[in-house]
Amino acid sequence: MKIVHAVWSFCGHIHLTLVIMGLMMVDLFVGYHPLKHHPELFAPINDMGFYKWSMTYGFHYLKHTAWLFILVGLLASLSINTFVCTTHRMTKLIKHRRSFSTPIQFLLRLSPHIMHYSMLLMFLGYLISYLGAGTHMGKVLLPGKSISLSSPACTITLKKLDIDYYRGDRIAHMAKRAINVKAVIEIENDHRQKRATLGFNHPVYFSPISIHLKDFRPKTSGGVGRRRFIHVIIKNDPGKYYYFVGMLCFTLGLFMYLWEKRVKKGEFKVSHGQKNK
Amino acid sequence: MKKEVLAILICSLLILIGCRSDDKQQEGSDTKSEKTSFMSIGGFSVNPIEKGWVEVRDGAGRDFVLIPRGETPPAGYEPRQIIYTPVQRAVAYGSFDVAILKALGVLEDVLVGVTSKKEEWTIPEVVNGMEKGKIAFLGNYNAIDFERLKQCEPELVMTWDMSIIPMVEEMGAACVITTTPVAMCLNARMHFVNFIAPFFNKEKKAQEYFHRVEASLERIRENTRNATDQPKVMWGDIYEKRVLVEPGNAWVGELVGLAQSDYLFDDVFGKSCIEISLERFLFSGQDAEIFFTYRTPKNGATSKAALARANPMIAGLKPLKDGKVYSPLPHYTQSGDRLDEILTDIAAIIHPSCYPGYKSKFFRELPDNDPEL
Repeated sequence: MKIVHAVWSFCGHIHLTLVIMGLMMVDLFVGYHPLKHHPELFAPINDMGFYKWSMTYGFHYLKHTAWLFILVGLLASLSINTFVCTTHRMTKLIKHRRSFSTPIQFLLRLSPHIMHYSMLLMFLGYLISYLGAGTHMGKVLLPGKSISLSSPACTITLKKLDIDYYRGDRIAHMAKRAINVKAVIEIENDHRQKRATLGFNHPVYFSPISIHLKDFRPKTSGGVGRRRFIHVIIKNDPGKYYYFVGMLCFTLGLFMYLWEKRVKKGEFKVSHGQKNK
Repeated sequence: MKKEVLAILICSLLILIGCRSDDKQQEGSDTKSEKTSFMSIGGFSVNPIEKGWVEVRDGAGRDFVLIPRGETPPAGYEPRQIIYTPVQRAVAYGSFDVAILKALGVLEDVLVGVTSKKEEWTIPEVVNGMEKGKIAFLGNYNAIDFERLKQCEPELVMTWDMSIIPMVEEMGAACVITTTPVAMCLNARMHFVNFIAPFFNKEKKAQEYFHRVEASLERIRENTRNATDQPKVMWGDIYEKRVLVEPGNAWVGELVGLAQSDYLFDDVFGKSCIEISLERFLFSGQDAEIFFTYRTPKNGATSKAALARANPMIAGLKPLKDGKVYSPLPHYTQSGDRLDEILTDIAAIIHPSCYPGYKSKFFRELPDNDPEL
């Protein structure tokens, strides 16, 4: 039992956090150059997943990618360290919850730990994304045409493609250039159908997939015989729910933290007739 | 706290040592099994998997698996991803792709369609093929005749035009994107042949080509090592509404740097023929000593005066006033199979003193004025 306690204490120690942070700084410093000079080695992680990437780009170009494996290890260590430290603190706070003058003050004191747990949830989401997401690359949709996906089974049709071109004359080099694109797509499977507008930074969700606009043509107006199309990336990412929830919780924790600071400064009173702590 | 600092230092050393030892391992594995190892080629990749199958990733990030004819396709792939090798009928959009087919020695056997007219070709095998009716002109790249393409019965279409993917796949052929959103660096340009080779089971030929180019690069490095001057080079042109240049990450930019010279668009990053502002182009033009234009004599690059007449804005560029301007000869873009000679040509232009008596094969130095008729 003593050993377990010692390991638990070691894993959650603040000194370990500092060591991990220091190592991460060194590792990121080492990783800066391969990332800058060989971006082509790292870009495929986004669509082929971490495991397959490791087996191909990762291990074959180890001299450029070793820092990333080390970073993953360090992030895992930091996650364990954060989990242990936060859980330790949370347990103590819960044990001593009666020493707080109000339940709200107790809840507000949990704010940093909520942020820490949220961060862990986001890490978990990214881990799930990199290990379990499926991506369909290079899917091209022509107006009126459909493409079919086998997994998950569905059909996507480009119903309408509207491209706005710059018509002003104040910015000469933007003349006739595309400034916005809206693609109306219809997605259907055996059970349901959805019609939505796809654009840049405006993906379309059709659970469990999301459709993202990567490119489109033509980029300039005028000219003849130029084919109109959109190039989309289709993702099936189970990790996104985790980091969305993580971000929400983190934001909540942040607001609680700021609120607690104001309470401490005396700007707020948390309950009638009681002094702020 | 001292312990932590010590731990950080030790781990940093381990990271660095780890990198060093990986280096050695890498070199070892490369020489040991060049043919069977995974290879990243710019945005492309070649990954030999089990049973002699090869998984390839094209310029658009789409995966295909190449399997010998007659074998049962592996599970986990969509039918459009399966390509049987060796491919027997191919269509190529780009002249570099066609030149690579020539380098692999399969051009006459497999090429059945192109997107340039017979008059535009300088590769004898293509001209002959078109004359004999074996190679079809499919229409300009932006107006392909899909009926004719269908008649060609291609198994593989190599293109940069993503819009044709749905139509080609509907025909039952594989459509492979042979360009990437970012310009090919020198290494990718040299290795590109390794991406095309597995489609035709010509890996050995690809290695021969690669070693030839690699040797030429080594000679360039050797020849220009002691060059005393570092000429400033720019590569691009101004068109009616656009200014296009080769970015610093492109093979041209890298080669200029490797040949002990200063590439003036080294800070520009992106695709080949990338658009930049007019001001940026003219700014570099003040210092440049050598200017490579995209224009061929057919497009008006017959002399410096002709270039200046066509576009008065470039008349003030230093190379047009007292430097050198080079224009590619018509066969330059179709000579990818002679990449070693092209690289040597460019190095010789940049450092003529390192290549005494060398006569350029792919570029022409523009005279000040057109000869009087």
